[in-house]
Parts: sequence; structure tokens; C-alpha cells
Amino acid sequence: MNETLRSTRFRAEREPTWQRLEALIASAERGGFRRLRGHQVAELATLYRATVSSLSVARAISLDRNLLDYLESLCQRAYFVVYGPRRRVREMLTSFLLRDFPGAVRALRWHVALAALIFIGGVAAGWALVAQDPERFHAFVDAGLAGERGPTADTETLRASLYDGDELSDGDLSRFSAFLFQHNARVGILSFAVGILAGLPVFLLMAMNGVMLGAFSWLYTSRGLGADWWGWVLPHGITELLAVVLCGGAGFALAQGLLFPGPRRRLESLALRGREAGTVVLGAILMLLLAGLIEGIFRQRVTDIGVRYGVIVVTSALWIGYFGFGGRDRGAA
Amino acid sequence: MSVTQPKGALLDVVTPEGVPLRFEIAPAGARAGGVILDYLILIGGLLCLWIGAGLTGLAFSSILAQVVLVLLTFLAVHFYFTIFELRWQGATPGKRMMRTRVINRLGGPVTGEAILTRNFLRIVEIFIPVEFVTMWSSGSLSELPWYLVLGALLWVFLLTFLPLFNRQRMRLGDLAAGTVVVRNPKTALLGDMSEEARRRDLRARYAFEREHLEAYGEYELQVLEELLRSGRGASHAGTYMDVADRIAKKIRWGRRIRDTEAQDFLRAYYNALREHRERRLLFGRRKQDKHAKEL
Repeated sequence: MNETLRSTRFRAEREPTWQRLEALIASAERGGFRRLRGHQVAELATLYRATVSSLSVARAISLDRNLLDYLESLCQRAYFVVYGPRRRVREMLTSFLLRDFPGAVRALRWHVALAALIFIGGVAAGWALVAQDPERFHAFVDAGLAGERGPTADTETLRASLYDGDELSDGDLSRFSAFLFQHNARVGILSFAVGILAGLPVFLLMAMNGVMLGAFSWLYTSRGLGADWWGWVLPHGITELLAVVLCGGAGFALAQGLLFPGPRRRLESLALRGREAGTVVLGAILMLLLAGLIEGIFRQRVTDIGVRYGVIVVTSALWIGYFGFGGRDRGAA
Repeated sequence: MSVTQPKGALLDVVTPEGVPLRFEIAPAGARAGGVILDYLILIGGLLCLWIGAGLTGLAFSSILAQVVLVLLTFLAVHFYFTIFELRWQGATPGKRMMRTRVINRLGGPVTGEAILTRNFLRIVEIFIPVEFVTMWSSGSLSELPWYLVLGALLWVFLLTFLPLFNRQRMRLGDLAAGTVVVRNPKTALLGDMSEEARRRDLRARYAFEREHLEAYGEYELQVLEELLRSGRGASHAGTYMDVADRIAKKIRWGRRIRDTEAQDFLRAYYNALREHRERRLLFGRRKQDKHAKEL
């Protein structure tokens, strides 16, 4: 009966390990994971495993409440560091652009297709409705956005809106494109986020964007400016509209995770879908940045319709190639 | 007296090593505090940026500065939380101050995607209520029938205060990303109560028999631990005496406990009880508290 308590001996043996781990964690907590050197990272992993096993042992043999609480809290803090988001932002961006983004888009291709279908349906509806009654144009298109363009404007004004630089200086243009970018990106994030409300708002947002485009398209086409209109809108529009549709698709993915969990539990299915979709939205925001650059800087300077169509073809081909083949595993292909 | 219990709900996460860790869900107050601090920092930072740009005249003279301002504002508004949570292992400045952190509810590491998703969804929680209030104040809601307005109000309320309606205090972003915000624990390791020299000395003075030790269980052991750790001052002398009396009565300890030896008696009983219970624990036998049968 005279030997030391087993739990006391256990503690004496393991305590240096815990203290070493605590010191490493404290330094990671202060300066982030990147503060740790290579050998410290390896040491952290070893110490973490040793301490987690200490916790299991302590639960089995010790009734010292403070010791149990301490080990539990030490393991939790180590867990935050070991299993926290670890990749650097820069690393994440590289692997993101080369692999994750196109992969995530392919994974959500049916959701994106649905969003695209609704968008195109919106275009058709907008076209047909305004064709029936041109006055509806104002109901679909915000007055601030339409400006001088409308069913009552004469053809020359409409033509000028496609080819004249809006009297904007270069400076105004870059400011304008920065503003457009952040506006579009907000719409994109919103289209994704409202997916959590079971998808109906995503449907509305996609359709409304489509209707607006349809209304404009009918207006220009009815004046014989169809080709010029598409040459004006699509050089940046291919990228921009695709990005918006991708966000819509991501929103539908959220809604699907929530509404149709399949064999998984509902919250788990929502979480899995949600993570996939977040990647797509980040990529779409980068696409919108690109579209903003094309729109603000290129559009008003290049008025040759041939070059404009050239840009349409090139951007379309780029995106098809990128999403079709980007980041596919070569061995598997 | 009781063992201090955590205030929030608990979440068991099984680590990839197969050991369950029990996290305490961050309570609503800490969540609210964190988000308010973060928005104060964010808005304060943006104000400084804009005022600085205005005072130096850059905001008016340089186109480049204007473009940079617009883009920085966008980045700050939509990526403040994301960037901090990625760099600081799931904490933002506000979370750090409130001692909370984001973890993966399904176990395993928190991925970058989860962080992105949980923060993209803030737009629903912030902008929709803001939009609603704007519509309200501009009077465009008064044209709608009252039941629609009431419905919308309820809906907005539900979205914003969602964390109050579930035990794990999850907001929309947590739901969509499979994350949860927990308290950052920090328990210091105190000295071992059963240090050797003292233990032998006490054992010589108080010899407890098995039936003395069967009277209490693990719960009482840990309450006793907390009492003994909590203070050594004179203010505790009375409490020690009370508890020592109660224990002596319960275990039918023949001798009377004198005032001066109350603490020693309690320590000795703690040591003996812990030794006894830990030995039984090795055989897989636990006794939760004094009412429970040994299992």
C-alpha cells in the first residue's frame, strides 16, 4: 500500500511533454502557425499525439479533476492549431486557380446548368414581353441603369450608346469599372447566399437578370442594331454573365443540400454542399474582377466590331477550356 | 457547493486520433460581443482609410487612389472575417478578444472552403435586415398589406437571431459550412493534490478503512478537490470544519475532529478516497456519487 499513486506517477512522467506542447501552442497562438519552424511543426505533431494519448490514459486512471480539465483544454488548444485552417492565403490561391476552382465548377455542373437555363429563360421572357408591349421596358430595367436608352429613344442615340465612349475620360473609366466590379461581386455573393433560403430567391435573381438582358436585346434588335449590341455587351458579358450564373449555381447547390439531403443527415449534407459552393463563389468573384477590367478599359476604346467579336470568341474558348479541362488529373483523363 | 459546470452547451468532436474532445459551445453573448468588436474594428479601419485619403487629398486628385479605395473597401467588407480566420486558426480579432474560435463541426480540419462559405453568408444576415430597415424608413413597406410586413419582419428576425434558436449557437454561415464556434479553453495545471511527503505523513495519522471510503463517489471527490484547491486562508477554516464534520458523521469516524486539524483531515480523506476510487477505476468500476451503486 505504500507505493506512489499510479496517477501521480503518470503525471510526473508525462508532465514535461505537456509543458513543451503548451509552450509551442502558446507561440503558435500568438503569431499564427507560420511562426513555427519546420522542426517545430514536426515536434508539435508528435507532442500533440502524445498528449492526446495522455488524455485517454488520464481518463482511464486519474480522478484528479484539475489534471483532466487541464489535459482536455491543452488538447483542444493543440487541436485548434493542428486542425485549424493551415494553408497560407497565397498557397490557397495557387492551388485554387489551378485545381480547386475548375474542379468545383465541374462538380456543380448541373446546378450551374439549371441557373443558366433560368437565366436564358429570363432573357427569352424579357424579349417576348417587351416585344408585346415596349412600355414594359421600364418595368424591367431600372431607370438609372437605362439612362437615355429606352423604347422612345431614337436609333442614333442607341447606336451612339454602343460606340461613343459616354464622354468618359480614362480615369472615369477605371473608377467606373472598379465600382461595377464591387457591385457585381456583391450581387454574385448575394445570389449564392440566398440559396440558403431554399433557393427561391436565387431563381428570382437569375430570372430578373435575364429579363433585363432580354429587354435590352429586343430594344436594340428592333432597331436593326442586334449585331452591334451583342458586340458591345458580350466581350465582358461572357465572363460576367458566366460568373453570375456560377454564383446562382452555387446558390442552388446550397438549396439542394438543404432540401434534398439524400442519404446524409440534412445539416451534414448542407455543410458538404456549402463548402463546395464557397469555392465556386470565390472563383466567380475573380472572374468578375476580370470582367470589370475588360468592361472598364477595353469596351469604350475598341469600337471595331470585328475586334469585339474576336474578344467574344477568345473569352468563350478560354472559359470552355478552363472549366472543361483545367486541373483534371492527367493520369485519370 | 458543486463542481463548476460549463455554462454553454457541449459538443463532442472525435479527433482523427480517435479521442473524443469535449468543446464548450461559445455562448450567445460571446458571439455577439465578438461580431460587434469585429464590425467596430472593420468600420473604424475603413473610416480611417477614407478620412486619411480625404485629408491627404488623394481621394480627390488621384484616380488610382480612388480605384484602390473602392477595391480595398470591397475586400475589407467581404473578406475581413475570411482572411483573419484563415490566418489565425479560426479566430478574428473580435473572436480572439472574446476567446472563441471556429472549428469543424463534423471533425477534422477546418478547410479554407468552409471558412469562405461561412463568411459569404454574412451578406444574408447583414444586408437583408439593413435593406428591410431602409425600406421601412423610406415608407415603401406601407403600401404592402400588414400581414406581409409582419411576415417579413419575423423572417428577418429569425435569420438574424438564428443562433439563439439552436443549442449549438449556429448562424446561417455555420449551417452552410458545417462549422461551429467554441470557447477557447485555458486551464492551468495546478500542483498534484497527492504530493508524496505530505501524503505519507497524513496516512500515518489517519487510517481509513474500506467502509469509510465506500461512502462517497467521484463527484464528492472532485467537490472536495475544488474546496481544497480553492483556498488556504482563515476564511475557509469554518467551511473546512463544516465539511469535515459532515464527512466524519457520514462515515462514522469515531474520533471528534478538532478545529485545527480540519484541513489535514480533509486532505487525508481526499488522498485515501482518490487512491481507493482510482484503484477501483483500474478494474473498470466507477461510482458516480454517494447515491450511486458502484458499477
